[in-house]
Amino acid sequence: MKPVSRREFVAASAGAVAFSIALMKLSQGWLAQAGQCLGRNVQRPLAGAMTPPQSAQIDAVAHALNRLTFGPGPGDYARVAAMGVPAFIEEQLAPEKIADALCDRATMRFADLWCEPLGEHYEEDDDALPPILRRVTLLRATYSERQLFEVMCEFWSDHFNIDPSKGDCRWAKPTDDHAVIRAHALGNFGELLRASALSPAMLWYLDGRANGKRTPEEKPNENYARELMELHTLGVHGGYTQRDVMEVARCLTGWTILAKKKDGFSGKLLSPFKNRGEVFFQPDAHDDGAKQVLGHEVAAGGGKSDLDQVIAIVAAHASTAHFIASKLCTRFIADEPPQAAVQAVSRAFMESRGDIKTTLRALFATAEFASSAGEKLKRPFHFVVSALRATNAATDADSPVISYLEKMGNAPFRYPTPDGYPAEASHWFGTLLWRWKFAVALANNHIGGTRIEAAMLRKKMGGEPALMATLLNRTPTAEEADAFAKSGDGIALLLASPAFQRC
Amino acid sequence: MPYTGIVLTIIGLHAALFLILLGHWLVAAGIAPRAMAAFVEQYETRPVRALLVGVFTYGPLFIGALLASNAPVPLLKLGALIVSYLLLLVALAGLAGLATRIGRNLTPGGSPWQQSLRGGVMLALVCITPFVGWGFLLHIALASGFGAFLLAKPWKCAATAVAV
Repeated sequence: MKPVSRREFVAASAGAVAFSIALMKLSQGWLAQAGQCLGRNVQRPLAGAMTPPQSAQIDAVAHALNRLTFGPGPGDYARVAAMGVPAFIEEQLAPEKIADALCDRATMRFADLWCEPLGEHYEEDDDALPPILRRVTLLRATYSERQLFEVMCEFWSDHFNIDPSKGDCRWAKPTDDHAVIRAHALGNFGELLRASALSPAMLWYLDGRANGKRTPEEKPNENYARELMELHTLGVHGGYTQRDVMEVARCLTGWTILAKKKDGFSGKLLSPFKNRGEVFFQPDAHDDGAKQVLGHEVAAGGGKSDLDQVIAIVAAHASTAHFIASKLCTRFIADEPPQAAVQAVSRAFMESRGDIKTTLRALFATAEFASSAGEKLKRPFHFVVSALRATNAATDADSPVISYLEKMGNAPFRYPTPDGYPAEASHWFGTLLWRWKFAVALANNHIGGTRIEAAMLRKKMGGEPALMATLLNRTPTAEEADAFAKSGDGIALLLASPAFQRC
Repeated sequence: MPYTGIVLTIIGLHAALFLILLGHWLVAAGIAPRAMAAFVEQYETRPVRALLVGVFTYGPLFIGALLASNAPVPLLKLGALIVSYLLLLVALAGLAGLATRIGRNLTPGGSPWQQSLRGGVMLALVCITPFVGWGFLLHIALASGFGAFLLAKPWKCAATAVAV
């Protein structure tokens, strides 16, 4: 080898370093683009008209966006204003027709959660799946265009609440979320109820799997039967008695899941978990005598069809219609919903035999819904997602952002009791300090894995007044505009403002 | 479970890069053995100069072509991508000289293609090292390959096509 001069060596080294730095700079942009394609830190595109609300009050468009979605993002107001509120409601009531590529990309790397058979989930560690489910739920709420569907998934997840920290629920809850909640969120209530009753996670959570009567002395486990009537259908004042609870429990005896080796799930050489979590009926554990539920006779010898009869009786009960209507009106209208609205929604529920779309259509048509703009306090999950959407944040929904929800006590699938997170504002006033902290952290990009581009947002919106109107869903008051200008951290201020806490 | 696909993708990408590098080097060694000998000669006599020439020619050209590939005009974008690939092709051909030289030191008595293969395997393994390899060493090696190509002036060698 020829000798190398010092000058040649230094020049080659410096050139190599400069070349590497230039390539690294270039690759940052490509990595970000590749990340977007792979669903990492995706961002809703800032395209199309960005006209913000022009009214000093929350108008019908902003109101619909506030209540039917987890909060509007930049451009949403202009889009809905152009199509009209009725068309927007119909669009949201048909989620299967809405393209949702961005959300699909954001969640596709977690697809095993809903693509794999339940048995395969049991291969995971104890604490592996619930955090992923929480993450996917936050990603869907933030990025999905099927916003009403996601709102209803949250509603039914609370209604049929399951705490994944109990027993096998940690493996079975993702399947419940996919096959029960998401499969029927805008479908028929009776079908949703039946799917929930036979969900492995629910059978575990409310002890349905242990409900059997093999001997005359054995007493049925009434836990699920009680919650079925108290929380899932008739409501606590729905007119049922202790005898009804016991009779429903008798009807549901025999249904269980393959959970442990002694239940006989194993034995497959290649896939030992294959059958685990499978729901099946044990005739020998079923009480096959005659029963009477809420005044209806359930004939002896019905076997597994007893469950269908019970579901039909409770789903069609007038108290169920009233209870579901009350909860829906509490979610979409006010913490203490007007009785006229509850009656109208209850009637639609009864007449449509539990069709959830028809019921919601009736709710959105009530005068009480139209006149309730800006009166509901957002729950922490709603607040966090609406802040992410309003600022067009790119988020991976990983633990840094989830931890804020934990601190505010509203992380998805974290509620321990079967009644689900409360909807009323009184439960959530104590979370204001963490809301402010979240607002400041988000506005200053201090949340790991979550990023907003304030300058770009301001530019795309066409200036600060438009940005303020987008965040507030109305034009700002003089005080708000003044505070925004003086604060030096206007976005944080607006996200923490009283107006942004309500919808 | 949710990360299995990501792990497999990463392994697959590394394996693909390994095979692509090896394939190009073997084709270059097989298709133009005399030019290959000239590249090896450059790496034996003046490897630092090859790097120096490479970073100041291949570097700006490659970066320029990549920047142009983001151009809004589709025709310019296509042209830039073609130029980028041609630059890569030249750099890979030159770098085959380094692979062969490494193989020659590892198996002095072997036939040329075996030397290219063995040296190529070693060099490719270095180049696919996570982060340091594909983020730094590979690009520097490609620049030196481009430099070796220019210094060797292969267009002056009569290319001899032989069957691999």
